[in-house]
Amino acid sequence: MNSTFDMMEYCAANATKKDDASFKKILTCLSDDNWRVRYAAAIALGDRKDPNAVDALVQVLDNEDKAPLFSQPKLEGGAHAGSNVPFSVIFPKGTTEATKEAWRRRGRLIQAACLALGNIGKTSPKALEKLHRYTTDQKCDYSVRAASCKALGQLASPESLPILEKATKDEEWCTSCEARKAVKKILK
Amino acid sequence: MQKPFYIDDLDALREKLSRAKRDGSLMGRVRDSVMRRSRNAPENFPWFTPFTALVTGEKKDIENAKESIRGYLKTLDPQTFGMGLQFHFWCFAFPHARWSLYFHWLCEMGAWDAAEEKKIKEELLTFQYINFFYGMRTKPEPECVDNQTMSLCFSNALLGHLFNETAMAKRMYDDGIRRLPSLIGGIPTSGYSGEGSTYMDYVVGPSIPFIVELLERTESGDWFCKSLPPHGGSAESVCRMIAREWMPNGLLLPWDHYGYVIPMRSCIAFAASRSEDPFYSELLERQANWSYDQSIGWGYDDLIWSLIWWPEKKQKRAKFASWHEPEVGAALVSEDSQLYLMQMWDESTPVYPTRAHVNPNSLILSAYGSPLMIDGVVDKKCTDFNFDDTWREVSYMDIGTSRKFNFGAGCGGAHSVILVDNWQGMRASKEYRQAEMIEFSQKEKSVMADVTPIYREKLSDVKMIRRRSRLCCERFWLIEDLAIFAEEHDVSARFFFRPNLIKSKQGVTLETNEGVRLSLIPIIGPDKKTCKTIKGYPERLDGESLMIDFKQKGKECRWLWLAWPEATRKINTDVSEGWQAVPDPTGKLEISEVKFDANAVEVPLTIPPYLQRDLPVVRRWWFKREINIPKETSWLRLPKQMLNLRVWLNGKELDVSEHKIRMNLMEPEIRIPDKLLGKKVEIVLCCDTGYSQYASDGNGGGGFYGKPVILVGQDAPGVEKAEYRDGMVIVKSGNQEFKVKHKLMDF
Repeated sequence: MNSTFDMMEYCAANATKKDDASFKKILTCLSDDNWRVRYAAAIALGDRKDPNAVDALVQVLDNEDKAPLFSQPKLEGGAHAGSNVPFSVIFPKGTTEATKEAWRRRGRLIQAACLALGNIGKTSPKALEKLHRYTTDQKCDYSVRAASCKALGQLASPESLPILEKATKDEEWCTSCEARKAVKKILK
Repeated sequence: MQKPFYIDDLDALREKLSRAKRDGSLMGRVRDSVMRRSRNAPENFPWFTPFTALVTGEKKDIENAKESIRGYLKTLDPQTFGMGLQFHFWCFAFPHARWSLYFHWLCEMGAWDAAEEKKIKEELLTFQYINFFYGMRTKPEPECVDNQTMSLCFSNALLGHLFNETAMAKRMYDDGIRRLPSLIGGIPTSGYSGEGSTYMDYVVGPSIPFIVELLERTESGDWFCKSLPPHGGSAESVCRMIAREWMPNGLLLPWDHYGYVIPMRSCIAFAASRSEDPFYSELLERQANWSYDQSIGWGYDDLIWSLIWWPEKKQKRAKFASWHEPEVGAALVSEDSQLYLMQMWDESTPVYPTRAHVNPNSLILSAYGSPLMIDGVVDKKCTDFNFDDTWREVSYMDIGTSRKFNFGAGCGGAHSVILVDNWQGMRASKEYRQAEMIEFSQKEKSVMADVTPIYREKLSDVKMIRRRSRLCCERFWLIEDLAIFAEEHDVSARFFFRPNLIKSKQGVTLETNEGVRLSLIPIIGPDKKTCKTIKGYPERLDGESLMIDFKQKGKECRWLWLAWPEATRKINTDVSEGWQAVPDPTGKLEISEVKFDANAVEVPLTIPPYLQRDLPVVRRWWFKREINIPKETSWLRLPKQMLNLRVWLNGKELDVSEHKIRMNLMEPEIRIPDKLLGKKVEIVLCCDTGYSQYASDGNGGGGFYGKPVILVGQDAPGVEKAEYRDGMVIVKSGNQEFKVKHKLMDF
C-alpha cells in the first residue's frame, strides 16, 4: 500500500469495517502527508461512525485552520470545462508547493471532517466550537459552511441554534438550506 | 471486445450507421459529417474521436481517441486553480463522467497497455473523488433538484459503475445512484425544471438518456415512463417538455434564463427511440439543425449521442401542435405551424429570480418563421433593468473576489406582463402558488390564466389579474388583459418586441429583419403608450428590443388586443445548389486572390463543405455563384451562423454588419441593391465556420446551416378596421373580413 491511490482505496475499502487494526490504519492515513489520503480517511471515518475518531478529526480541522486554504488570488489562465486543450496557470512568484496543495484542496478536507463528525453523532466542545465557526465564516467556501450546518443538525445540540439561525440567512442557498434543516432537527 | 457501456450491441450500432450511410439517409449524412471532422481534424474535434474509434475500430482512430483522453488528463491539475472547478464543479463533473466513459470504451477495445490503463483509471477516479464526490456532498439532499445536482449525481453514479472493482467507485456509486431517481421525480409533472430552455435543453435534457439508461442497466425496470417521487416527474415528461420548447421558427422558447437558443438533438433522438409519439421523429428528421453544435452538459458530444440513440423506425409525419401544462404555460399553434403563441405562468424563484424569471402571463409570439417577441438576459452594457431594489453581491462564485450584479432582468419589468404602479422589480418574496390556469381549449385555441397571487403579495387590494389569448381563424390572435383592484392603480401592459417599429395609425406595428410585421392594436382600452428601444436586451437575436408600455389608471383596467401578423416577403428562387467553394487555410486571402477555377469544388451552400465531403477542415471559406435577380425588390436569404460574413455583388462589397449578431440565430435576409434588380449577378461570399470545438474562434465546432433563397415582396395590406361590437370582434384587412365572437372576461 504505497501509492496515494492505494491508501485512498484502503480507507474506502475499510469504511464499513469494525476492526481495530483497520481503524488505526485509517487514523494513520488521516495524518498522511498527502491531503487526498487524509480526505479519503475522513470520509471513511465518517462512514464507520466510531466516536473514537472525533479527536483525530478535530485535530485535522486544527491543522486545516492553519493552512492557507482560501488565500488564492485570481490566477491568469484557464480553459473550458471538459476541454482537452493544454493550458497552464501563472502563479504569484514564490508560491510554494505546499501552498499550491492548500489551494487545490480548499475546503475539501474540512468538509469531509465536518460531515464525518455529523455522521458519528458524538461530539466534543472543541468540535462544536469549530463547527459553529465554520457555519457562518464567510472566508470559508460554501461547501464548508453547508457541511458544518448539516453536521450541526445531525449533532442536534441546542446550543447550536443561534448560530444556525444566523446561517439560515446565508446568501448561498446550499448553506441556508442545510441551516434551515438543522434548525428543524434541533427543534424537533 | 468486451461491452462498451451504453452500447448494448456494438455490431448492431455499426450496422445501423453503415445502413444509414448506404441509404444516404439523414442519419447517414450526420454520421459522415461527424466522421469526417473526427478523422480529418481529430485535434479540433476531440469529443468525436472515441465514437469514431468505436465505430471503425481502426488503429489510427483509436490512437486519436487515446490522444484526446491524454490531453484531457493533462488539464485536470491546472483546472484545479480556476474558479470554475472550485465553485462551479458540476460543469466539470458531467464532462469528466463522459471522458471516463470514453476511456472505458477504449479499455473494452483493448486500446491501452496495462500500465497506462491503471494510471489513467486511478487518475480519473481520484479526481472524481476529491472534486465531484465532494461537490455532490455539498448539494442538500433531497431538497436540491436542478441541473447542477443532476450532473454531480450522475457523474458519481456513472464512474462508480464503470470502475466498480474499486472501493472508492462503489462509495461514489451508492450516493450517486441513490439520488438520481429523486432528481427526475423532483421535477414537476409538467417536465419543466423552471431553469429555462437553455438549461432544460443543454443540461437536463441531455442527462436524461444517460440517467435512464444507467438506472435500467443497474436497477432494472423501465425508468423512462415511470413517475417518480417526490413530485411525480418522469424522464418522459422532461423529454416531452423539451420537445415542446421547440418553436416552428427553429429556435427554442426564450423561456426564463438566457433567451433564444438553437435546439440540441440527443435528448430528442433518445425520446424518439423510446416513445411512439411521432413528434420526436419529426423534430429529429425534419426540424433539427445538424450543423450547429454547442456543448451539452459542458461537452461537445450531442451529435455522437444523437447517432447512438437515433431509431431507425419510420414514423409518420407529425406537426407542431398546441399544448398546455397547467402548472407552467400553454402554446397555441396554427394548423400550418406558421402562427405560434406561448403564454407562460410558471413559478418564479422568490427573492432572487435569477433562473426562474417573473413572467406571469408573459407572451411569446412567432409568425411565418420569425420570432416577434423577446425574453432572456441582458448584455453587460445594458443598464435598463438595474432597478434600485434588485442589486445583489455574492462572494461564493469567484476566487478572491465578490461579484455584484443586478437581477432586474429576471423580474416582472423585463417581461411582457401587466405592471401595477410601475413596480418593475416585481417578484415574489416567499414560496406560494403564483398562478393558476383557468381554461385551455385545444379546439378553440384559447388559453386563460390567473396570476393574481403574485401581484397580491405586495398590493393587498388586487382582486384579479388575468390574461386570455386566442388564436382566431388561423390568422390572428386576440389577447385580453383584465386587472381589477379595490383602489385605483396605474396599470401598464408591457410588451417586448423585436425591432423595428414602423408607422401605424393605431397601436404599434413592427417589422422584423425577416420582413414579418406585427400590428398590436388595442380594440378595447386606451392607446396611450410609450416606446423605448432597449439596447442590449436581449443579448442575443437582434441585441435590442422595443419596450412598449400601454397605460391606463383605474380600479378596473381592461385591454382587448388584436395581434395581427403579416409576411411581407415570399420565396422566389431556391439558390442553394451550385456554389463554388474555396478553402482559405490562412484566413488571409483577399477576394482578388481567391481562385474560383476548375479546382474549386461545387457544393450546396447549406452546411460547410468539409461536412459534406472529405475536404480540409479550415475556418475560412469562399463561395461563388451567379444568380438571376428578379426585377422586383429582392432579398438574398443565407444560412445562419456564417461567421464574419462578407458579401460581394458583382465585385462590390455590401455592408452586412447589421446582421452580425442576429445571424447567430436567424438566417439573414440581405436586401439586393435596386440597381442590380433584373440582372444576372455574381455573388461572392466569405465566411468563417466552426472548425474547432475549443479554439476561441471555433464556434464550438458548429457550422452554418440553412438554405439560400431569393425572396421578393408580397402584399401586406395591414389592418383597415378592428373593433369590438355586440360581443363580436370585427377585423378587416385587404379584401378579407373576419368576425369572431368574443365574450369578455368578467370578475
